[in-house]
Parts: sequence; C-alpha cells; structure tokens
Amino acid sequence: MKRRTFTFVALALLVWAFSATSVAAYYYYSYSDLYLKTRSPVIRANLGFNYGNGTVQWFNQTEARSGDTLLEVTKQVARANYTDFGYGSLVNSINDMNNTSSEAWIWWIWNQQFGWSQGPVASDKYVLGNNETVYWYYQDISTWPYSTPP
Amino acid sequence: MDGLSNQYLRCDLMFSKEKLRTRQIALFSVLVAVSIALQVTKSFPFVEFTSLIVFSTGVVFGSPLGAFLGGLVMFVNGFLSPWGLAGLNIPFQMLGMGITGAVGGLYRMESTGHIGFYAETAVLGAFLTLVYYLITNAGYALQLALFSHVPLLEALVLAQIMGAVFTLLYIVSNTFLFGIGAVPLVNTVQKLLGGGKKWQ
Repeated sequence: MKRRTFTFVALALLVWAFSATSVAAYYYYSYSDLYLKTRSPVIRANLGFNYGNGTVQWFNQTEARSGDTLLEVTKQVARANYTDFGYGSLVNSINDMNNTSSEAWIWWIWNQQFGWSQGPVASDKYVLGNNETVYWYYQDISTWPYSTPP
Repeated sequence: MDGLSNQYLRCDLMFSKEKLRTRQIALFSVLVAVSIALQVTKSFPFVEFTSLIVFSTGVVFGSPLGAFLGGLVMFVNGFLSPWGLAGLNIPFQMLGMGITGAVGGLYRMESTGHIGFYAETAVLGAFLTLVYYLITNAGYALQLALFSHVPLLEALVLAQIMGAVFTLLYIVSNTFLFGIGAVPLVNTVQKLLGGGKKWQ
C-alpha cells in the first residue's frame, strides 16, 4: 500500500474509532442516567422561579410522571410559552414574563457538590430525576458568563 | 480591506513569494463575506459550509490566509451567531477553524494531482471536523470547570461524551460535503483567478 493511501486510511480509521467510542460512551451514559431517573413510576422535584424583580416562587415536591421532561413539569405549575427549533425548545415566557433581547429565562440545576450549574440541554430534552432541584431564572443575558442564581 | 487584512495578505506574499493581484484580493474578500454570511445564517440542522469554504481557501490562497479566514469567521460568528453569544468558546472555535484553513494550504503543497482527491478530501473533511469539535468541546469543558467547578479532567470527558452525537452528525455531513464539494470549489476558484493548477 502506498504511503499516501496508508496515511488517509489511517486518518479515516482514527476518525471512525474516536467517533464510535464516544457515541458508545454517550449512549451508555444516557442509558444509565435515564435508568436511574425512571426507576419509580412517579418522581418528585423542586421547581423554583425567579422573575428577576425580587419575586421568587417555589413548587417543592412537585409530582410528575417518571420520564417527564423539565418543560413538561414546568407546564404543570406555570404558563410557559415556547418555540421548538428542532435542536430543542426555547422558552419564550413563563407566567407572561417574556424574554427580551437582554433578559431571558435560563434554567439551572442544583448539584450538592458543585452548586448551581446551567442546564446542559434545552428544557424539553432534559428528563427530570427524582428529588432534583431546578431553578428558572429570568436574568441578564447581555453579559457573559451568566450570573448564577442568588 | 482593513489594515489587519492587508497585513495578512503581505504575510501570505512572504510565504508564496508571489504578488497578490487585485483579482485575488477581491476574490478573497468575496470568500470572507460568503463564509460569514453562511455562518451567521440559520441553515439545515447539522450542515455547515464554513469548513469547506475555509479549507478550499487554504488550498487556493495558502495556509496563512486559510487560517486567517477560519479565525475571522468564527470570531464574527461568536458575536452574531443565531444560537447566541459563544463567550469563552470563541478562541477555541477560531483555533479549530483556523486549523482547517491551514491544513488546506498544507494539503495543496502535498497534492500531486490524481483522481483520489475526492476520497482524500472526504477523509480530510471528517478528520478536520473531528479536530474542530475536540477543540471546541475542550473549550466548553474549560467553562464547565471554571464556572460550575467541575474538575477539569472530568469536564473534558463529560464534554466529549455529551457532544458525541452532535460531533458525529457533523462529521458525516462534512465527509459528504468535502467529498463532493472541495475539488469543484477549488477548481472554480482557481478558474476565477485565471488559471493555475487544476485538480482532476
């Protein structure tokens, strides 16, 4: 085999090996995560809403079906308007508080070890787990990084 | 062209030892405009043409200009992207796309002219897309480590895993795009420049 051909075959194999390994790891991780979250038929989660004007609402121990997404549980307790972009849904307003060019609804999740972390995916792609605490924060998005919830 | 662009053109001049003609500068400016316009416009999911244009620019104009175009496009994209401000990821995106342009120039030096170009550019498309997403996922991991206090190594692994499907879809689409698009695009740009070496 010519050296040049060998180089390109090796490159292709490298891409294939890395992609296959990382996709396998992704599905293993997703499966494990989903399995943990859907072991019981009903889950209870804590939902907080900070309207950015001093008003904070908490819906503790909100009951939901196992496998429900954050957006579905949010709609149980609040009026949420959203747009589906294919990649995920963008929440435009919660309880008539609309996003603007400088302020928007961003969701955060509480982690005992790390504190508040910004939601890693769109709210309609995140399956809520039992006893998780999630916080919708209407906040300034004109500067980056976004400030963590108070 | 602004001062910075002229500086890079002179830089390419030093590398190629050729004088850049008005037509070359005009064509490069058009490629810059097209790349930025395509990048900041919403298109089909998991399809992007920036890498192909940046790579082809590297092939035609050389590594410095290819890298410059890649960096510039991602710098502008970082602020004007329809998906929002890229923040700390901007330098990582610039680096990733800059490498794509630079590799285009290196590939030109290595090319000998044969029909295997289509397969080679397809493989390069896949490889460069993988490199780009490895770098940008590392950027995301750094943010995770800085702002969510996740240990850096854990964040690196997590970012690569969480971005795996996204990366794979772009690798597939860019393999296809580079495979069928790079050779005709390079030939077209060469033709517009008034000749030069033509790929088969």
